[in-house]
Amino acid sequence: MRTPTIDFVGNSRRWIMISGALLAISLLSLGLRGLDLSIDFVGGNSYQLVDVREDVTSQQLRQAAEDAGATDVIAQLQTTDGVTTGAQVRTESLEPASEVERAVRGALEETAQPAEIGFDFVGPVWGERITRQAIEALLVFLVVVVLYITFRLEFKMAVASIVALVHDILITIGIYALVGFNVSPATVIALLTILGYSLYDSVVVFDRVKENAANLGDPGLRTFPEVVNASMNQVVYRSINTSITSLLPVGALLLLGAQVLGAVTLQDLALALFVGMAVGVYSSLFVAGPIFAWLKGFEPEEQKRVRKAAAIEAGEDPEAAEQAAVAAAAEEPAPGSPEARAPITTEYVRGQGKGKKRRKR
Amino acid sequence: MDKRPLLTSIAVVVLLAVGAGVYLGMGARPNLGLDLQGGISAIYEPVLPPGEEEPEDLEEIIDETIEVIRARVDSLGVAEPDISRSGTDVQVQLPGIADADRVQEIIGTTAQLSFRRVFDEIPPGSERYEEGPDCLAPVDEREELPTGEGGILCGSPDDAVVDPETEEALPVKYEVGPAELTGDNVEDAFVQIGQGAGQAFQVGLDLDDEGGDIFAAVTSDLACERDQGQDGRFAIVLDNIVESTPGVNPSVACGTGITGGSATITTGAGLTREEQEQEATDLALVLRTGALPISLEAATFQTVSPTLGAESLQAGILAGLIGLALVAVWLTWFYRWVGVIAVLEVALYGLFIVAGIAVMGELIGFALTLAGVAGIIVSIGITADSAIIYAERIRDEVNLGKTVRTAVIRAHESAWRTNLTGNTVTIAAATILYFLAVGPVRGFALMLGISSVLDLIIMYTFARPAAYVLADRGVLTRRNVGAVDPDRRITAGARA
Repeated sequence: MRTPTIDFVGNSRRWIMISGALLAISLLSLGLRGLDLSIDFVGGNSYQLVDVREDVTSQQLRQAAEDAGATDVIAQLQTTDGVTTGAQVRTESLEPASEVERAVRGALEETAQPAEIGFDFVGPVWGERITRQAIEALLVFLVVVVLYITFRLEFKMAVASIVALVHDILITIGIYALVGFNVSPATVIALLTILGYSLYDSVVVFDRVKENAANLGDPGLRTFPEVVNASMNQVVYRSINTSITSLLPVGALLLLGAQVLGAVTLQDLALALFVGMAVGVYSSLFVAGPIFAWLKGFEPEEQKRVRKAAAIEAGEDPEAAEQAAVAAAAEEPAPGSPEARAPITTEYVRGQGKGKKRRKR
Repeated sequence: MDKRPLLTSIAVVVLLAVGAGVYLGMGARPNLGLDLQGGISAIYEPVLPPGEEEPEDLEEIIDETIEVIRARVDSLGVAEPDISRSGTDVQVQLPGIADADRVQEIIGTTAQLSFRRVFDEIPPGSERYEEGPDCLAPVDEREELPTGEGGILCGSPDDAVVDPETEEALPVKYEVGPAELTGDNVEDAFVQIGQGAGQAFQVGLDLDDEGGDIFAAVTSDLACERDQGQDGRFAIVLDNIVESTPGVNPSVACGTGITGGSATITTGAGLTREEQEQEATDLALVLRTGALPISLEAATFQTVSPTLGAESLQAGILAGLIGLALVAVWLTWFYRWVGVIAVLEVALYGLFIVAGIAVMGELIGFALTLAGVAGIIVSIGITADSAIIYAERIRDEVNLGKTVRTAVIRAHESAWRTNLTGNTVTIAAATILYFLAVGPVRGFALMLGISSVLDLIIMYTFARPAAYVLADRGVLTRRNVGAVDPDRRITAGARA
């Protein structure tokens, strides 16, 4: 297997257009359609009816609940192989075992004749609280991550990782808004996992970049964009394989979760994970890397390197031109590249070069 | 390369795996959370009576309220009820219970404090013990004694006495009069140290004006009874259970009683100082809880039917196994021998995590929830990833011209560092989520954190030595680690 040679940084404009389009769609659908939040965030009651009468309709269930005194009723039937097996009915927040709540439960039981009935209740204030707590946890987490990556790698890498992360989360949430999926605590868990995966992927890429940055200035690695590019090509198989091995179990969860009525949590989770992981791999390569290379471009040292690399390409610096020749001799030159036309000296053919010891290369 | 430490490391891991397998084979299973086994799970928030300010020791009062609720729930005969406080929230987990209305009634009712005169003490085994309520029946099925009426009440189960005939520990019963004072009359109760010799622990009691007058009248009567050689005791009743029965001091005169709206209750004659302090603290808390009847209001209330729980669990386990099998096929196909090591890593992870949860269930009562199952399935990906990073690194190093034997060592160094960084981020995420989030997110975070740590351990103690040994034996070759042909090596190496 050979290391691929994809120009991740050079084609930035293309990635910006793709990401930009995805982000625009996400933000638009978020703004226009909003999210369908489950009772866990907004408060409410939810009834799960198992093994209901086959000919019951959602209209009947809604009517029954409303007649019993509930408002904001949403009734959904769940079917397996075209046969109605269960139903879910959501209402506004009704204190458990209160008069109205008992009446609603009784009415649903009578209408659907389920084998079992389970219900969830979430108080109106509680939803606000856990939403707030989740956001707090997220902020603390992001601060810690920025500090850790800065300490372990580099601040600009931390910034690029966070940009990629926000990108992933926004797109995943956008898909929820677009398709109208219900956002439940399971979705939040999935988003948090995506966040972990996205960061993990970025860290793996940047870890390679840091390692290769020691060879900055070497042929093929003259400027930061080149280092970033080379590093990403080195980890691209890992990224693809990791996504495959992560998506396989999640895919199994998605398929099986759909078969089991009660496994709504599993299904919610698997769906968000599936979308998020796919976006996460894309962003670690096509968003985090290029952004980091772009940020690095503002450093004076890097601008000097870029000028030098440009000079070498134009063949102005004889010493540097020799270095380019090494690259040409060692590499399979891309046809038409400047290196392909550079002269090859005998020293380099013998592999002795300028006597400067190349690091493990 | 000295192989002994490597082989030892592999042997230890394999032995542990066998141990875990036997442990599970012998029938050890993880504790299941409510969402997997069915039952009622709820979180309650305290609601203070209108007009009351939040007291400083709110958390302690909630703890006492929980004690009251626990006593009520225990009487229901739930197998393993779990009632705990986190902050000011009360979390209630009742496995195997389906009657939401009854649970709501039991937990939502406030505890009532009353002071009643004791007419008679009825120990278990005595003739009259059959009369009155059944002290072992569920509290909500026991007859409540209205404040205006007298009758027979059960004592606290903590002070149970063994029945000489049946050898059964039963609470003492008391015949009491109507309530003289209620929790409304109590302004404050606190622990204090007495002035007299021995400096005994006492409970100070402050009453409101009305309460003070009644208290003086009643204690005056009790003092007269005492002077006539009768019992002359007062019962402090919380939630229909007699918590304490203090008598009146010899210094209290018949006809005067305890005036001024404050009194002290001396506890535990003949106990050690620690026990005395404990008793005084408990009684003060009982009084304060009665004075500030906190009602608990449901914030979330979830009922899960046992069948739904079982189906979810089955779906989760099946998804996990299918996922594991697919990952195994992919890894061996793509990475050959290194892939086999990776598959073993993932399998070890699965075995250890299930056994680990079972041990945690046994030791600290940890229960696996559906979110936890999801966390485990997600972690299959994390474990596979560390193996993939290592395999990719080995190939890179071999591509650069190293022999396979040196490549596995160099590759481990860099792969280990990458994994450590990545897993640290995951562990940080898990820790923060665990401490800041509530409900299902916590179970998920815990599994994620444990899995990340386990991943690092397996990588170091198993994947590393296994790869070294396989490389040393010549099982791993240039070709099967996926390196390019030697004659094209330089080309790929320079590009890398």
